[in-house]
Amino acid sequence: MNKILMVEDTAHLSEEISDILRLEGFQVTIADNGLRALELLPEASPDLIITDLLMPRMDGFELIQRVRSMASFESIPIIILSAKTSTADKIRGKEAGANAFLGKPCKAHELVASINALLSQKATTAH
Amino acid sequence: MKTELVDGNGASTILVVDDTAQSLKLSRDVFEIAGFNVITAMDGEQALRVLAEKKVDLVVTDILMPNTDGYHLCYTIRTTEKLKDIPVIIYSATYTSISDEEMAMEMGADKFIRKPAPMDELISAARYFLSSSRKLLHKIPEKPKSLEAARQYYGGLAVRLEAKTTELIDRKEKLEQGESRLKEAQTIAHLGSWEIDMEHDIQHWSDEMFNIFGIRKGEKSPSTELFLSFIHPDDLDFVSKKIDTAFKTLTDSMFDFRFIQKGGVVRQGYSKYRFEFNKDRKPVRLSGIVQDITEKMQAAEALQKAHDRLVFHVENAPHGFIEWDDQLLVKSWSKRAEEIFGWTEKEFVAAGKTGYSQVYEEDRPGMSEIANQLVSGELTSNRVQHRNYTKDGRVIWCEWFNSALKDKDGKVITIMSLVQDITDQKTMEVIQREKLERLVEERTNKLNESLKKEKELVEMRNKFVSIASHEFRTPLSTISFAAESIRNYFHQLTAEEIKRKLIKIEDQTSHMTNLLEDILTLGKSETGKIKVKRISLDLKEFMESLIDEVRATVKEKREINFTFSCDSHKVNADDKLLRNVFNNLLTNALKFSSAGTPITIAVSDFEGEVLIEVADEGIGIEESELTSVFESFQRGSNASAVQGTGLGLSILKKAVELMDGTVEVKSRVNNGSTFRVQIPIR
Repeated sequence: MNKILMVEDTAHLSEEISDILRLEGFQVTIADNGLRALELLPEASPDLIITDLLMPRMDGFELIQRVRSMASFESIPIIILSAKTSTADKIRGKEAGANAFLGKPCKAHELVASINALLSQKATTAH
Repeated sequence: MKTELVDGNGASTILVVDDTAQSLKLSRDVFEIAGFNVITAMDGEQALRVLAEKKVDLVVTDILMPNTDGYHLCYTIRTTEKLKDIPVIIYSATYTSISDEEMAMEMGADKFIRKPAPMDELISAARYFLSSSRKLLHKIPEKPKSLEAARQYYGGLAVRLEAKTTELIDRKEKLEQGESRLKEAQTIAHLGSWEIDMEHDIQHWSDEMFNIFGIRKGEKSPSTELFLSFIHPDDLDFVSKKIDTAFKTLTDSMFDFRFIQKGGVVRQGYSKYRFEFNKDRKPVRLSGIVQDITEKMQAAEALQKAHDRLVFHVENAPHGFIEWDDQLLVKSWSKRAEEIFGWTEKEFVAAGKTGYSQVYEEDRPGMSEIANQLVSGELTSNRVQHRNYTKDGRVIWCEWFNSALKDKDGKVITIMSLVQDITDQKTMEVIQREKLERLVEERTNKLNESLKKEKELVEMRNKFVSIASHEFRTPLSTISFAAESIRNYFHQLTAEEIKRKLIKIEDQTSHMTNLLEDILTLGKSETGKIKVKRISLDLKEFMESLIDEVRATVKEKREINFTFSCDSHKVNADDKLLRNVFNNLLTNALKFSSAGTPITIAVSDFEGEVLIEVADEGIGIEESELTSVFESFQRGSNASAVQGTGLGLSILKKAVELMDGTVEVKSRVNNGSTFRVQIPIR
């Protein structure tokens, strides 16, 4: 069972997304900001991270950079799911090291498809 | 007359014979000075008549004379019994030869003296013959015996006569030519000449003299009295005195006078005269001219008037008038220039000043260039403004109009300048310019300010739109995911789970509705669409009813302490704005504090205004966020667990400002917040 760490400061949204992801067969851990995510990361040991960008304490950009600098997570798939949808934000997200960018609101099956695609890529590269 | 005694018989008488007046006069003077009585005759015939009538002691005669010549006179004297003992001296100049002298001796002359001879020789000869005349035995001339002698005599005489005649005719023609030319010149110049022979009191006027006075020649005899008769009565005294003085002092002089022509026309005259003296400093002749200078005077007068007019204009013009030489040394300097610069012309020159040194140092290079252009001929005139010094050391602004006057070779004769003091005008210009510059700066600043505000507003709006859309996207995402879960996983979800998702959808929908309303309210207040409408209301009642309304919306029972300590319940305020403010304050206090803590509301009078304080004991606000919480979409970093649009406080602040009031907050994290709103609604 693949594990997903979801970083989102709005509780009602993270609840809805995690409901769907569990129904799709993923194990989900929720963090409400970047700093909390870094704390949970070793124990959760996720296969993929979904993160918002604007959050208190540590935003998504910084989180991605930190994760990419950690040896055990340098190639973990990361999806940005944000209400910030400008081109500049998308470029900044890619530069930070994100693998995919989804704007809010997005369709649940689009999110799930992105997750599956990234996980199968990872599986291929690993073998 | 002085007399010289000869042999005790009184003064001897000498007869001088000569056809030339000048020569005759000279000889007479010589003998008279020597003390002799002198009788004159112009030719031999006249001499013989004198000899017939008067006792003559000595005859001095020329040879060539009209009618009877000297030889013949001599021969007649020697051959006339009564005269034969009178000594005869031949005194002749031209055409003399040895044969003339021989001939004279043959004719019975006692001595032959050639002209001109020293005075002494003549006198001593005269004295010699007068003292010894009676003892002299004269040779009685014989009649020319031979035909040859006669032929020689008459032939020589004829040749000489012919030569003399030719010369005389020549002289006469020349004289006549000269005279007619002189006459013509005199007519043209309105200039008459006159002379007085002072010895003989003979006065002579040229023809033009008569013309000047308007009479015909010969109409009246020229005389000083005739001259005076034409003099203007007003000038008569002066002219008479002038003439008297002239004769008394014998000094050359001149004078102007007015005269009245015979026809009655008054004209202007000018006279100049000169005395002539003989060897003994005795005046013999006074000669002079009279000129009609009426036209000349009129022309001069017209010129003077034109000059006076010009000077008048120059002196009364607002410009100073200055003339410089090519070194810019002053040649003349008008009164106005004196007024402008303080120096008189003399003072300026004496101070060693020039057109250069008078210029303010900073302006000298430019001025030199301009001056060089004039002197070199590059320009004939120019107009320039620069600063100058005055006598008292002030610096004034002047405007100069310069022009260079040149001779035909292009050399500068003079530089003329018209100058005006334009300091006041300049000062005014500077003031005006500074005023204008200040105005432009003010306007620019204002413009920049409003541009900056406009820019800020645009930026703010863009930011607002971007944040607002972000704020909508999050609840929309929740709604979208919840709705999809229900549709896609309907059979995997329990009824309870589905119900929870539907409630979530409703919650987020109402949140979005609130958000929309807040944004619209904020938009209205920012674009000035909210009009303040004051009404009279009872503030205490108003507050109590609002507290009841809010209390009804919260699930838990909360402790709200309300104190009202204003002197009067009555206020004049916009009830909608007041409701908005108070509603926000109370709702926030309840939202950000836990159920067990009290809320305190105090309304009081403060500085003549109403002070509303709302305090809670909730989560508080970070010190660094005390200002930013009033900005749109800014929420305290510890407020994420509490529902909110992030617009409440910014709307509250706008409402307070619309009522001309102020809002501030005191807070410490986890120790609660106190909001103070002060509004002038009395």
